[in-house]
Amino acid sequence: MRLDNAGVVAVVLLLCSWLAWQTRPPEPPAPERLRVQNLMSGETQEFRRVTGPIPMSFPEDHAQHPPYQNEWWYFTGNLETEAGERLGFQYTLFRFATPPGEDLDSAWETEAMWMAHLALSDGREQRFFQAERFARGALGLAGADPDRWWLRDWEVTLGEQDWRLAADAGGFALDLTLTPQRPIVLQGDAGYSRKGPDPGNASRYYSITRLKTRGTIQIDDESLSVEGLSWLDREWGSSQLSEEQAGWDWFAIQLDDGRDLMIARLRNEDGSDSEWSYGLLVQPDGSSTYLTDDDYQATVERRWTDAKGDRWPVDWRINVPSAGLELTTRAVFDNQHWQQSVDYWEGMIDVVDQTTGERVGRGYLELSGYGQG
Amino acid sequence: MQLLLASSRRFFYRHPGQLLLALIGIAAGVAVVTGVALMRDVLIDALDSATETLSGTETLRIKSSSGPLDETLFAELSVIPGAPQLLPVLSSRLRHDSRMLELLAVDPLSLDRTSAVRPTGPATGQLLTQANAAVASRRTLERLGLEPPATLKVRYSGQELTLEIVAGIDGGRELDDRIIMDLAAAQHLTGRQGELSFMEAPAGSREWLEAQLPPGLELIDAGQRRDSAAALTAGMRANLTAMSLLSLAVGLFVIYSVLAFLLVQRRRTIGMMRAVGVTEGRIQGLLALETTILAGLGALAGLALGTLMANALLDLVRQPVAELYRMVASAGVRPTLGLYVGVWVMAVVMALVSVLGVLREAQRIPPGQLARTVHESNSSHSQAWRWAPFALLILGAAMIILTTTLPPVMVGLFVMLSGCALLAPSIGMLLLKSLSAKGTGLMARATKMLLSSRQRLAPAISALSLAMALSAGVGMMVLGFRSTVDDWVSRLISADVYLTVSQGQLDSTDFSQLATWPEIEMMTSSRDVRLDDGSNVVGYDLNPKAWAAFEWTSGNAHSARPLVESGQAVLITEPMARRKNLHAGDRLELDTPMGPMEFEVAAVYRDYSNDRGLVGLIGWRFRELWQDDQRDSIGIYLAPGNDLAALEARIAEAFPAGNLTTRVQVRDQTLEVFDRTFRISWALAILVGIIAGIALISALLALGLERGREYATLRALGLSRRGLAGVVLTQTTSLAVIAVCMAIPFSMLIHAVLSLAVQPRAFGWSVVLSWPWQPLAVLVPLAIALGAMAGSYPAWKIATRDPAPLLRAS
Amino acid sequence: MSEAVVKLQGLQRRFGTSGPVQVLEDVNLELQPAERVAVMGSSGSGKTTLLHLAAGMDTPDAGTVEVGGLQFSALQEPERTRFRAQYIGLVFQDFNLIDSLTVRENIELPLWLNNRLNQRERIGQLAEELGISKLLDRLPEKLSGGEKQRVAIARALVHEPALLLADEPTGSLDQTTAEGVLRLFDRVTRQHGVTLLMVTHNDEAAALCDRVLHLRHGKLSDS
Repeated sequence: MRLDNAGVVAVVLLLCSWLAWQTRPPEPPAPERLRVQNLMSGETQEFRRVTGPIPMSFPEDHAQHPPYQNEWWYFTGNLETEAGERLGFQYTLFRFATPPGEDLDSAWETEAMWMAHLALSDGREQRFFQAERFARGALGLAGADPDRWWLRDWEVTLGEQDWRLAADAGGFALDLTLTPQRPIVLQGDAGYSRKGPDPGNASRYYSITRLKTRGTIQIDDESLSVEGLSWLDREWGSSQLSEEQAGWDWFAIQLDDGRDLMIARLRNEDGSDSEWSYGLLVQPDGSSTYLTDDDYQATVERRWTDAKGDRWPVDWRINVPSAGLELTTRAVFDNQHWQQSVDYWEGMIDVVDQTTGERVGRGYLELSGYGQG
Repeated sequence: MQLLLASSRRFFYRHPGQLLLALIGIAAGVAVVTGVALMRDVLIDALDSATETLSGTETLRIKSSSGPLDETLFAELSVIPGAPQLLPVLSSRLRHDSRMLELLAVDPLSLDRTSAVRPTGPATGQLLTQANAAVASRRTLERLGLEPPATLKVRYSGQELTLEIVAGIDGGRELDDRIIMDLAAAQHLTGRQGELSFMEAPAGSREWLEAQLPPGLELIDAGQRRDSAAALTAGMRANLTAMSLLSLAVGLFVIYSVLAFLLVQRRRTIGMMRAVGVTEGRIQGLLALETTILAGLGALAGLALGTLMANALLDLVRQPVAELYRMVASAGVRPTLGLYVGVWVMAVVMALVSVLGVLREAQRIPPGQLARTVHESNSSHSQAWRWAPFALLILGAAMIILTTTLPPVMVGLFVMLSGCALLAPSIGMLLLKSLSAKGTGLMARATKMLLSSRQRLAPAISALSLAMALSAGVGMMVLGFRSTVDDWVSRLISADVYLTVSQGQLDSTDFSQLATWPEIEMMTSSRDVRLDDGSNVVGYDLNPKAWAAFEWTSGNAHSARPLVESGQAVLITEPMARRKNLHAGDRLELDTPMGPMEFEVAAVYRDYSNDRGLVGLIGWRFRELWQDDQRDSIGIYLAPGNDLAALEARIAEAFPAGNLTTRVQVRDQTLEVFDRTFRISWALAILVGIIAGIALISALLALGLERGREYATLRALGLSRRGLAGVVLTQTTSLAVIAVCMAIPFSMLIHAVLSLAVQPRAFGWSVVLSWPWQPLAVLVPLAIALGAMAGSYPAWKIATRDPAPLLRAS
Repeated sequence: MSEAVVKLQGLQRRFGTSGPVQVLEDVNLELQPAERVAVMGSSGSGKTTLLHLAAGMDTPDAGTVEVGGLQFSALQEPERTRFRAQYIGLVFQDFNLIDSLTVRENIELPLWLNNRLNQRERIGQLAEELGISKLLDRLPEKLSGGEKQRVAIARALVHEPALLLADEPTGSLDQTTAEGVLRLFDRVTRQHGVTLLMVTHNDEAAALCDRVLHLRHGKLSDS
């Protein structure tokens, strides 16, 4: 008697669980992560590679370079409100060329995927806003001309002197005017920035390391007048990174004494720094010095662990003996972590003197290749 | 209560067959209801939700009321500051073998990274660059039997396309039978350059869009889309609902018959229980509990069966939806907990309601009734009760006749069937009496022996005759409807041959060119434009023969023709007339590209091609208003003395891209679509038939087994084994015969109500009532054979056993 | 001495599959024509089994059953059934009337089974004898217990069987009714000169008979 009760209960449970299983909600597809390294290395036969210096000319080289596989237009900046509160921003336009395909009879045919990243670090409440967009290079949806770089309504335009950046991400928006304080500096060897053993592991690279910036920032319904300094990086190439390189740590530092320091520490898969790491020191008069791996030491001071358990080195010690610099950089706050299609850390940092502990500058730090997901 | 439960449990142990039959009866009824409910949901919610998987739920859709959108609108809107993320979509219908697929072309880069097609997904690169690269959900690929990378050959408006499936993507049933491509490649392949079908925008962007959208565009939210899918498939769903309610009714009769029979069998036990002091209330409580447990278990099994059934039969519903409404529904049902719980509770409650009578019966069992005989207590049925079936029949008929909408018809039919169910036992017994009145032979004696068991047989006879009637009635309706459609199409198709060109490239020039050919006597042409509500506007060029081919339900050709040809008036179809309550002489407002315009309704004609209705305009007026010079088809009439084959050859030469369809082919194609549309009705009719079979077998098996003692007495008195087997078989067969005898008029009633009331109200068209005999020709012999089969087991069992054990005083 | 109507020799019958219960161990019995024998015994002593064996409705595990000179074991089942229809009349404790047939139709059944429907007049005669003439067109369920048993007796005698087997004919009746039925039973069986084998535990019923045997522990004894 007991046994068959158990049997009935078992059948009922079986039926119920089968029915319950039928009503399960559909599983949402898991968002996918793009590994920047993959976009930066690998098969590139179809694209032109950078193998040596080519003279640059402006404003023509502000526009896109379709023969190369990838390219970006990269603004970062440290701003202050009238009340002296800290804000940081990043606006990047990426172009990833698709391999040449068949000719399609359609206005939607495109040779590139465009991606734009817009971020705002709000130092007051340690909030990090981020927005990502994609568009195809067709129907005027995205592109880069000598005087206009845009993805839909996010755009940068070049006026007589100034750049104007206007981008509205819904929850936050930037409208900034950026005035260069320095001439364009060519990175590496006259803009030929080598990053690996193969001469083709290289990009063409120029920067404007100091742009005086003013404008308004909108956060929700709050509108803030801001002022500060920005940095522009422009880079393009095909397969910049070699196979062994896992990522990079990139510092853009504007020192109060008027010098600007860029450190690009390339990292091997095993975590050691690559001999191809490089840097640049720009003097207030615009003259610049190329730094090799031997010219500086960068060591991790502190790591921050994100929710997934990935550890990001957010504080560093940087010594450039030839320039007499012994600096410590500290993230203004830890969570300036990009979690959209690309997993990276990009945020504003304070720069202090190692001996005196006094603040001697500000900057931006980009950490790539640490995320596992 | 424990003790009582133990007693009823032991009863079922000793009669596992009856337990099983009770469970199967309940499960079968619940399965049909569940299955239909699930399929109905596919016709509303899942019909149009593919883009939701791509662009998120509750999106707004931007559409043009007149044809496709211009793709530049997307670019223009997208770059306006503050623009929401829009998703451009170009949707096309593809055919793969007999399956309709939807080609959804999107811009992958306008999708969110949480979408089923991700901008950064591995396939995006291929989609963007390869002219025929496509992706599909893994479910769809499984259904197509493809493992990516794979090649898929499809037909798109007459031409064959080869697609490369480069990857399978995640995604639920919404993406079933959908192939996703990049816009550029899709436009390139289909030749639809510059076009978008619609754009999707996030739910919150209504205000922005309303401010920015140019005039002539519409914003449709998810609710409106569901509503229009619901409206579009209303007829079909109503049909399904009708079937499911009828099946439920049969299922309930089966439940009732099983439970009533179980009670009759246990009268003695219950009498004993009452004798030893168990109260009436407790007995009723016990029976109610038993019913709840039985119905609960059966219903649970029914839910599972129904889910399996819905998935198995879904294609029968999806196919006609694809054919008739050009919408690809998802291939899997999505049950919800709410639906399951709802159906389960309903089944249990209705089972309890259906055994109320049984409970009352139990109440009347006097304590200590130890005799095994059953007292037929006619006295309890008052005179008024006797008239109840007739009252129900009249009430039901009144509800059907006096109303104009669908729900009262369903209720009325249900009421009438209840009347039939009450009437069935009385008539059945009369029939039985007349069968046994004459003669002294074995057959007469055998049937006579059944007469006393009215109470035991009544529920079985009701359930049986109704189930059979339902099966046959639906079959008759479908066949009758089919012959109506056949008549209609045969009459309507008056030209010798019809010319169509894929992609609608026939125009006035072609028409006038053909008109000059000497071997063509005259021509017709038509051009179809679909309106948003699913109805169509047709521009007709007609000739006297074509005019004569219309069948008028209001107005006539004589008065209508000059009005229509003057461009002042339109013809409308019967479904349109019924939906908008229009008659000849009324006025109808039509949304033309030139703005809304009023026309007189010149006449109403019979049509079964579109349940949303058609408005027929004379060709020149249509071309003037719609600025559309194309013709979808040209009907060609051969001049006397010419050879059709020669004409066909000449046309084929002049129109290499043209398709020629003869009159016979048009008719065959029409009937093919019809048959596909009603395959689900057949499937449900067969399911109900199976329930009927189960009811029949259960009733007869129970009857045979129950009468063991009587049979043993006959054996003791010297009736041979063979003679006894004859008695049992005669009894079961004659029961089947009387049930089927009653099923015949009931099925005609059901057929008449379905044809004359349900069809017009669900679809808007009337069906000419005819009386197809085929379902009955199948049903009658089948029921008799089943009756004989159901009798043979007890006959065999009783005849091979010694009578002694059954005769021992119990 | 004429041939015995019933001759049971060394009958054994067991029931049950696990640990069979020996109901009849060694039963020997002979009934001469027109002899009336009562077998008494307590409930479960095997009385009914004995009767079923004598009617050919059950088969012994050992021993022989001979009725009217025919050895049952030598007969096929259909022949045994036909023989039973002709030669034996049966009366049951709870009547076993067919509810759906009228009294007349119930009594008619043996005539029908023996193809003797032309002798229907016997129904009227018997009904007269048994005092049930007025009940002939009624259904059994409307009858009292005594009336039912009288109908059953009529059914058992209508085809003039040589042997009447009665299983507790008064078992379901109250004292007064039982007495009436017994008197009638006694009278008609004597008048028709049938051989009677009756099993009962009712002393008054047994008293009608010429011989009373007792079934104890599977065996018959005189006292």
